[in-house]
Amino acid sequence: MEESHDRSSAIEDGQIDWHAIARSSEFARLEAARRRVMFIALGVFSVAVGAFLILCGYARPFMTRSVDGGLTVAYVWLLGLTVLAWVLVWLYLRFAERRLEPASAELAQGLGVPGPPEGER
Amino acid sequence: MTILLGASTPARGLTIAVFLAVLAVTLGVTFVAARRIHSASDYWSAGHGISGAQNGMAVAGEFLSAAAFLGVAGLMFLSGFDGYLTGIAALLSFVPLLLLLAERMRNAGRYTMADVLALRMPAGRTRVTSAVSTMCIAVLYVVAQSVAAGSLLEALVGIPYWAAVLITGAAILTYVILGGMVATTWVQIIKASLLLLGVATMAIWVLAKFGFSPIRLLDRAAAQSHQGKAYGGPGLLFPNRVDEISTGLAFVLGTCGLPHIMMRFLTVPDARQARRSVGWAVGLIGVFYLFVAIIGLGGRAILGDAGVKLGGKTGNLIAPYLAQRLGGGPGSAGGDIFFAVITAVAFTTILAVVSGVVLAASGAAAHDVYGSVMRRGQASEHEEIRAGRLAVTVIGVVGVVIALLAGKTFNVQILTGLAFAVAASANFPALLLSLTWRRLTTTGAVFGILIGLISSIVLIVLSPQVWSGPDSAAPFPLGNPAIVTVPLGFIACIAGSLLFGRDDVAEATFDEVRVRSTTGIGSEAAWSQRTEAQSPRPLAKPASS
Repeated sequence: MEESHDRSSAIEDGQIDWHAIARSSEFARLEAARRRVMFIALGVFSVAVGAFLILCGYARPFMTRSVDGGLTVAYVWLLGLTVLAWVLVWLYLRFAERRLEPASAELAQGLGVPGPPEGER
Repeated sequence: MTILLGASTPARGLTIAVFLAVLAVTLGVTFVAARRIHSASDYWSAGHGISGAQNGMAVAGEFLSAAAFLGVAGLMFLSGFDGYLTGIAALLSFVPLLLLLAERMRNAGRYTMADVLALRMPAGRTRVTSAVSTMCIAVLYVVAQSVAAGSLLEALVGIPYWAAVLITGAAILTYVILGGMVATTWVQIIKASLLLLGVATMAIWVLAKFGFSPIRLLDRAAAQSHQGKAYGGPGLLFPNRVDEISTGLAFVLGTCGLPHIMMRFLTVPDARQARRSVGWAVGLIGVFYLFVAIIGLGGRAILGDAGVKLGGKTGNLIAPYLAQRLGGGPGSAGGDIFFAVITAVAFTTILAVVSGVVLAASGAAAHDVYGSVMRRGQASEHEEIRAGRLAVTVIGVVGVVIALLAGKTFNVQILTGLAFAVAASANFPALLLSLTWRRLTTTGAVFGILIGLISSIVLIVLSPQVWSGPDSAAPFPLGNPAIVTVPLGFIACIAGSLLFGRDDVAEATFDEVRVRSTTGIGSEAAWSQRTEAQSPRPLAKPASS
């Protein structure tokens, strides 16, 4: 609790100029990097899930086709989506911890305000 | 107690004993936790001191409801592939949750979802609408879980439905009123471990019976279903094509608006732990659904036609009866024990999930409506906690009453799907746009939440799921309205913002929200100034300073 009080007072005293940060090139780069990764991941996800749901609705004979015995295309696709979810989450975590966090910390340091916690966990 | 002792078979006695043991442990945790609650932050967000792994377990616990276990297993038993689809679609929802909301919520929020909206739209009406939608979702969820509790106890332990619902309600109120978020988190962790262990044991046991060949299990289940090949593909549960897509959509987007899941991301100290919680939760839940799929198919393959009678019309009870058969059948010691354990795990699941939902709703009532609007931020933390506990009681009682009246005619996963649809339509659009769209106004957000909420609830009432009489007579053809109401929620937010004039405060604070949610700078900080809901002042100074 102590720590968060310190943080509050630092911000209140300093009256951070959010507009200036938002306009700075460091922030623009950080935001752009995050957006790029987010849109790529969401794009892959939406196509895989969207196609799956549409085919489940409108291509039922195809989805019911057997891959191996009772294992149908539908089951294989759904298992694939589970793996896709795992992979996307894992990649994003890696990206966030390696790219976003250091960049945020640097930005905060430049402003002399407490940023996101340093990672020693 | 006479009702309990009156239960006849050894299985019932044993089930009750295991159930009471679990109840005792979780209540013990609650009493220990209760002593550690000193502030509102302790009560609603465990002092933001939960680690990513712990929170991931708790998110999984929150998410793996009786619906996910009993409901999905039952749906797979009844209609094969479509049942699995509802489960995995819910798992997939964690991807948009992570990419769009989780870390940004942590960076910008405090106790409740409305806190995030209030950063840009501090007017009381934002909080009140958000609280109303939170409570509607909570009630739907409580009803779904209580229906599960009632039918389980009635069928398996021999307690009347009404008594079962009342016992469940009493235990939940104790957890939440005394223990707040700390106790709820630990109850979730205990329950998630028990549940994962339980389904893993069952699934491995089932697979062993088929020489560890999933293909043989699938073939046998399809043969036993009398549906032939159709059992392995889409369409049995959702004959209406659009309904299949709509239900899928509700599950994929619903988590992004579920208040009790969003609230979990406020219990961790920072964005990194919020992201890691998602990682843990996605891993655990994915494995969980694999096991549940095996259990559902195993129920069909092993119990066959006998399972149709045991599992009930909704399939909700198939998992415990499969456990009984695996253990050696009714009357055998192994069968009785396994049956008792699985039933008790299902009970714990229900208790834990309802606690989480009720806690989220109480946060909305006490913090957003009472603390911020009625008392205009003048309420002390103790007064807020007291209001929260009162809200818990009211919500619990309302939920229990509706569960008693709503009856037991629903598969619980289908009921939960409706809660997801409301969450995705009412909360998700406003929340996402408040973090990403500068032009969003207070009017737009309020408009969007209300339209999403009202349209989804009205369409649910008009749908074949709820409409009385034959399904074909229902005025709205889809069982799940998400495909109509989620876009409607977005359109309402956008139209409301564009049509009714600009919102200077919301636009002035957009840069702050953008910077804070992306970088975590100043997280937690602005709160001391911002809770005064009725006196908004832009925190951000003009750039010229």
